[in-house]
Amino acid sequence: MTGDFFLPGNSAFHRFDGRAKLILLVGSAAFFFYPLPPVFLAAALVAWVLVFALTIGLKEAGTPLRSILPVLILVALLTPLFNRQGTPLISVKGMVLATTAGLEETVRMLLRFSGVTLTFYLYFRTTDLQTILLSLRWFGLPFRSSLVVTLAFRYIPHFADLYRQVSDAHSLRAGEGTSSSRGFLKGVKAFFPTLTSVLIQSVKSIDPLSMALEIRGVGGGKARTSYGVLPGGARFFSQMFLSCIIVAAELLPILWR
Amino acid sequence: MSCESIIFEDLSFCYPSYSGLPREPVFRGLSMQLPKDSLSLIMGKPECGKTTLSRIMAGLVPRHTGGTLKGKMYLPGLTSGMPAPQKLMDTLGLIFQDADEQIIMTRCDWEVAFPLESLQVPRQEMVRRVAAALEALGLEKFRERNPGRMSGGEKRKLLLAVLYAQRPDLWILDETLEEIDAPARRQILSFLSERQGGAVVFSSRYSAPLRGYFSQAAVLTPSGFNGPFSLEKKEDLLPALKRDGLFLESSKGLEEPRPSRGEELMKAEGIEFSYPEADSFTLRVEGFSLHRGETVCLVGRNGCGKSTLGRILCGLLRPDKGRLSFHEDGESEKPAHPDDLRRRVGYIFQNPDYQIFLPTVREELLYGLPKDQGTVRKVEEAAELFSLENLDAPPALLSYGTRKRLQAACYYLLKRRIYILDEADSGISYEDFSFMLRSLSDSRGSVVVITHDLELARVVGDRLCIMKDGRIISEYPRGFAGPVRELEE
Repeated sequence: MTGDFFLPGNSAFHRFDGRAKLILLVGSAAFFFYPLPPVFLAAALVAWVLVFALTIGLKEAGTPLRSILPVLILVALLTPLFNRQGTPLISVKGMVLATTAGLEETVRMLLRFSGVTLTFYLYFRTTDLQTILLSLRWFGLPFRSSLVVTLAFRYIPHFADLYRQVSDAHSLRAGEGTSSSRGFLKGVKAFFPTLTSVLIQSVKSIDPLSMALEIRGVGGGKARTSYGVLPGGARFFSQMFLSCIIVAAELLPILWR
Repeated sequence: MSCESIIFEDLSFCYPSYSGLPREPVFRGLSMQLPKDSLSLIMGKPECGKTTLSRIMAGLVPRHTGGTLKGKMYLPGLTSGMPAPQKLMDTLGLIFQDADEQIIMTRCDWEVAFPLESLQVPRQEMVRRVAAALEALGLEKFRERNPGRMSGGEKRKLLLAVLYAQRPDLWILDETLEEIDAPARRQILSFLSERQGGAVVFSSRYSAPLRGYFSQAAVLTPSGFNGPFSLEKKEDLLPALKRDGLFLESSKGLEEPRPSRGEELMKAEGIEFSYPEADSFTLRVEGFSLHRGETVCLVGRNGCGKSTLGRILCGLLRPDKGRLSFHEDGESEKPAHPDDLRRRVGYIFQNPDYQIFLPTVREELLYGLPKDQGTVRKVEEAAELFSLENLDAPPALLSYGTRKRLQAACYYLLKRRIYILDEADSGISYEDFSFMLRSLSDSRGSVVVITHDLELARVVGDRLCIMKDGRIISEYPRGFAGPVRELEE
């Protein structure tokens, strides 16, 4: 079970200290929930897109946004209907469908979903699993909790990879006279059988995973030594300082208002 | 007082029963004693309990699975009782049959270091042991590689590297050597026989690469052990192996008269393919063809591109360059679109669970078939042919061997022109594999067998294609008995 989000590279963000990145991740993700006008959230989103462009490529920013596109569409359609205070903008036969406040809230929600997604995606794409584990432990999270968090996040690409393999396997079982083509409609029809196989596989992998962890000593109660080390020194301190400054700066719009 | 041997006394085990799937004991009355520092081979047919026994030895069953364990077991270095698995790390190490179930980390060096962290090995010592382990198994260049991007055999080598670094007294290998190429297998067996400490190797067959390394062997059956037999007196061991189809030379059907080679059915020309994330691997196959009635074996070292070529031939992967063409009955040769290939070529995945998803065996067999009375009859015949006794059983709860048979039965009913069996012999006996091969072969089609077992390939293949570094470098005809130098280099 070795799915992984990490994309090896040598960008400045790859080389940024894992602990400093964790502070930046939490602070920046929280920023998208601050009670601020959408223009601030949009500025933050543009800033993250620029970071993508300078580190792992602009094309990478499209990947997570495409994956949450159905959610974004639902948010865009439903949020105005649940926020109808303020000046009406669209009415049909006396029924208000959209207001200024509703639209503003819709834009805020879309920016929030996109911003948080891009923030987390960039973090996991540029930080390897061992660094994440060591960083969490450095902040005081016990090893088992850190391992749970990292395995949980690692399970997502594993799940996706498993889905692809099962989907391939199922596409080979089309009967005579039927198409094994993987067009959109076929994909939708094949979704539930594929998901069933994937869920069965995932549930069946729980016991072997716990067995594998136990025979490697997890849960033995002893403190662990560490193969990986996180660097210290001036570089670490300056990057930590920079992260704290950025997170503090993100609070300024609230204080200013 | 610490035990100096591996001792089983009247051991029996039964998994919990489920509705619609009552359980019989996996085995009963296991009694045997194996010397502590010996290299022992335990063979058995699929579903005889090899994996269960290996996990009982490691303290994982019935801890994780439930079930009823009776009898006694003593392992070297343990004074009494069975401690938790975490406490056994210095005493024994286990490698699972399915490598993907056991690999935890996303880098090879972290994977090897993980148990050393639990053992509180100091960092400097850890770094040294990780490097030595990777080098011993020929994995130095994979140090930072994600194991998810390695071949099945390479993953098993990685797990062996983990044990090498961990240094338990007793190694337990559950069908670990099946998918490892011959030179690496010899290297590992030599290491096991020379190291201090014992090893118990479980296997579904007794093949040439295993001979000459083990001091003794036993055959596991539902009613107990046959043996142990000293391998200096093979005349005692062979009857037990032959009875259970574990010995290639006696397996029924593999040497039966084969259909004669007919006209060309499929052709691949100028194929080139690279994985986007691969370092430097490129598959380049100038020409490869399949003829009606023939069985072609693809053999090569781990990571040479056998499965990649298989996936291209069945349409799962689209080559970057090159052309695939099909020549159907009465038709002229025409280019094969991936959709055409997926309808004409059956690819038997190594893991049957990727292709099984329906609630019952009956529904699995019916999937993809026209809904008429004739189909129902064909399904029942196929179930009988493939020994699938309970059509209403949930496939997810069946044993591995039964799921493999179900997988083969599904394809048997789909009547593909070409079948690609990717390491399908792994985890099943020669007898079961020969049955699968006979059922899927016919004079109108062709079979491609991807395997590490050169002995098997010599017997079943009309042609032996040797692959190396993404290329087919040589071919040997049926019956070729000489050394295959390309696999040794």
